Amino acid sequence: MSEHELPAQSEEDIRRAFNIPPVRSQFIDHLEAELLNRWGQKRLPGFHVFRHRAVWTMIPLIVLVTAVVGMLIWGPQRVYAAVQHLLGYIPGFGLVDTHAPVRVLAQPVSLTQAGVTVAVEQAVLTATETRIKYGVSGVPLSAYPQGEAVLGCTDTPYVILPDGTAQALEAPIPPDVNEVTFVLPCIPNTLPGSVPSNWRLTLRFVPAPPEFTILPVMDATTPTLPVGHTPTTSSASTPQSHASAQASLMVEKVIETADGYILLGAVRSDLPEGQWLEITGVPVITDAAGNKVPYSYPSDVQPLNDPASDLGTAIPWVLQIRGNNIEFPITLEFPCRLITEVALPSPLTIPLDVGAAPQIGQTWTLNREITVDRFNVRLVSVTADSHEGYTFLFETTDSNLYDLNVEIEGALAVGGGGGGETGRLMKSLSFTQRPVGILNIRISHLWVIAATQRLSTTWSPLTAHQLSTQVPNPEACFNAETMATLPYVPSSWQGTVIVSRLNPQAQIVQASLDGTQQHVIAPGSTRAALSPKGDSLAYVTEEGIVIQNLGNHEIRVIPGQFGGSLSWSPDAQRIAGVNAAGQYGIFVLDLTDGQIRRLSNLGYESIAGWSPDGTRLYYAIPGPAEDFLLKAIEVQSGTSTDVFALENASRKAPMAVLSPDGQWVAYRGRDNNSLYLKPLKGGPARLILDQPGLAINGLVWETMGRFLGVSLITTETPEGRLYLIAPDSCTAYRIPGVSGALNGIRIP
Amino acid sequence: MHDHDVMDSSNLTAITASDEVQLIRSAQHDPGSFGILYRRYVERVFRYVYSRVGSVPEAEDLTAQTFLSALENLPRFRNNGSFAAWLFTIARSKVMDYFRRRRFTQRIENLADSGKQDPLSEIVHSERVTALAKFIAELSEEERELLRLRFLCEVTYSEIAQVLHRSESAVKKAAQRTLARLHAQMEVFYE
Repeated sequence: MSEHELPAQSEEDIRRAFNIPPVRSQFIDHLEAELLNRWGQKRLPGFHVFRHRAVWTMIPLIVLVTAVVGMLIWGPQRVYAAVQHLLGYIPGFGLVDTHAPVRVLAQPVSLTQAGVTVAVEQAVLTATETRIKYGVSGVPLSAYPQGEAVLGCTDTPYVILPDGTAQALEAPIPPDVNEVTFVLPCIPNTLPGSVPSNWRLTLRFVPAPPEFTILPVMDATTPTLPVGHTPTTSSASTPQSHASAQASLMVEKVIETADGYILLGAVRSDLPEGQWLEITGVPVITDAAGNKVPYSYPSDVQPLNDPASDLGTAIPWVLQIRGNNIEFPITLEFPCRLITEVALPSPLTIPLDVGAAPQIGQTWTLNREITVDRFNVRLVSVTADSHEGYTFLFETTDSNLYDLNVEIEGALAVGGGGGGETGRLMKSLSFTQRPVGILNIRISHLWVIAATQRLSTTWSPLTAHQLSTQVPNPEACFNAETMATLPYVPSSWQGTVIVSRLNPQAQIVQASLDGTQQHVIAPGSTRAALSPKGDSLAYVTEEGIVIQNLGNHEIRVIPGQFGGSLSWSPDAQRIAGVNAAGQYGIFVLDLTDGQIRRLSNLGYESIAGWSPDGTRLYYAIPGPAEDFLLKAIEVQSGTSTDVFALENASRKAPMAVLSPDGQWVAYRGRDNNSLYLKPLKGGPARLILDQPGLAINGLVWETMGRFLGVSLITTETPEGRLYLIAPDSCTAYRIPGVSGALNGIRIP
Repeated sequence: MHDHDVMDSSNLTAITASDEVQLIRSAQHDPGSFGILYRRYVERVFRYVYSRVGSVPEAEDLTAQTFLSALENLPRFRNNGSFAAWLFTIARSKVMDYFRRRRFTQRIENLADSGKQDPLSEIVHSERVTALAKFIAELSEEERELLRLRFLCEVTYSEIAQVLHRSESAVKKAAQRTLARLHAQMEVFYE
């Protein structure tokens, strides 16, 4: 066998070993027809094409990610529709192809087995794809593998058509098929046998009803709208210090939502070989009045799959703004920097004798000063690592040095990595077998930060778009504007406030209601629960649960390993919490005899509170439908029942808290910045606080249940500014002089 | 082979590099030329994509995405680069995007275990090929990717180097090591 070639028979065997089926001639013909049709449309006047720019290598580094709580899975967007420019936007689903009628799920379907619920909440069917939104709830933490060495279930769901054909979840369902079986072979990531498997649900589909919202995705730069609507947009290449560098930022598509806009665009560059643009921070949007415009990353819209991004020459992005009080045009700015590769006229070689048998962790300190191009760099050390290679530590005082390439002459690296911070650069190389003896460390290239800049563009919406009401929710007691004018708590009021802080270190602080007499009562702890009468505090330490009398400061420790989410029973004889003695689930600790009873097994329950008679515990868990469920568990029997879903609740942590009289549950809204109140007997949730700050980081009921205590993260008070809210009268006060995440309030 | 009034694949393989440069230039204003380019590469792109995702519907969809992307970007293709390397770079990007958007990468072809055989599969497995498949499965992903690009995509080592952003010499050395290992394993198998 020659150096690089195999006999023809062997090559053919390798091809066959990959077991590739023949390509369907129908597919080839159909796709060719589509492509040629598309080729023809490209040449029609007015067809939106990407701007003609020379395209150069660019490494995209910005990642727009939005975390989603719960387990909600649906199909990916298809670029196919994007190229056809027949895109629509379905709120909560994302971008879909709309050139054919859309079908939806006739009604949600769910199945519960052994406390685990699988639910299919919604589905959207188009001519080219299927998107099924399903979720799972009630899976105990013990069902998941501990650590990375063990893999849980990786089987993917699929559907079975009436004729028995199984197909991928995202595959288009034939237009004459309106009923399928959804199959989830096993709950994702779970261990075999830990929870029920082979879930099957029958799904039925109907045409999307007239009220089903599909918003058009419109071109931001090419007028495609009725006469009289003239979008204005411009793009400016920010002047750069490097004469040959060009980059631009464009808003390319827009979706008009009920309360604002979703903007889709891209950062594109026109750079010579060896240069690229790197986004270095988050975008900033300001309006014509110079005010910052808040934005979010819509979790249901991915940046369009720009063909140029496939080649690393464009970074697509998507942002959502709400049109409240925005003076257009808005200016979008992306901070970035230009990275340039510099090849050394002659490579630097640094010899190092590592001996015949270097050990993992063995370090050679060189502190060798080297001049690389115009940069002074010090090769501080070389360490034999655990990946059959070496890690090289460099230091430099020049902050414009971005990266170096490092090689070992004569040794072919099979992997590597790097990283560092300003002034320090670590490079690692791994090999099939670690090179030994005299290593010639070779540096032939470096990368420098040639310029930093801000790319910007301006955009204005179509003038005729009528946004939904711009006034704050009239039902809400307070918003950011009215919160800023609240009076302080009357000086005659006496009381105690318990907060937790992280700066300068984790600690629990007690203060009087006027913000004075502050003192640390639990250094190192992060969350405490105030007893119903406000005379004792409970918190978790490494030793166990600490019960501290706030009057005489006596401490009692219940030894053991405990989790959190502590909650006192109304009679203060018991404390509930989550996770104890190495077991997952809600536990109840009897303070009279120290006995611990376990009531549930999930491990991530968030306790909201006790019923006034102490017979039930209320807690919240993520539901299967992008919501949080409030559940109740009988303390005596351990029987758990659903109460209701907390509508519009935070997907991260709703912080649900039950009022002492058991009539209300308060919780944090989806934006983590609003406050809702819902009657426990049922009924709609009422918005109490409408985006009063940046986020709510603490929510408690005052011990007598007359007020809700809220700590609010603001720009001025990042630890949390404290407020008392009386929701029935919409009266509120600010607590002065003390900040932190609110753990408890007592006002005798 | 499929019926078509343009060239079949045997003719297409006879196209030289300079012919291809001309094809690409003319494809921007002549649909027939684009059709020739398409026919030249569609099976290879499908083979590569299928070898990654293991599902015919998904492979067809990703193949379509690749060519649509190539069509959109054709005006930007620099003729001093390799068209094959450019096209397979797009295909790789599509596949990586596909895996990024899926939570799990379980190949749907496991459905065959439930008794539902893929009706399009016509491969006859010899003992030798079966053994080779096992050895290939034991390679690292990097080594398998080399084999895919070389034998399924039928691109040169220079083009593979462009796709993988490595030097041609590094690619050749890696390929030589991999093939030597497979060869040795097959010899042991037949001892």
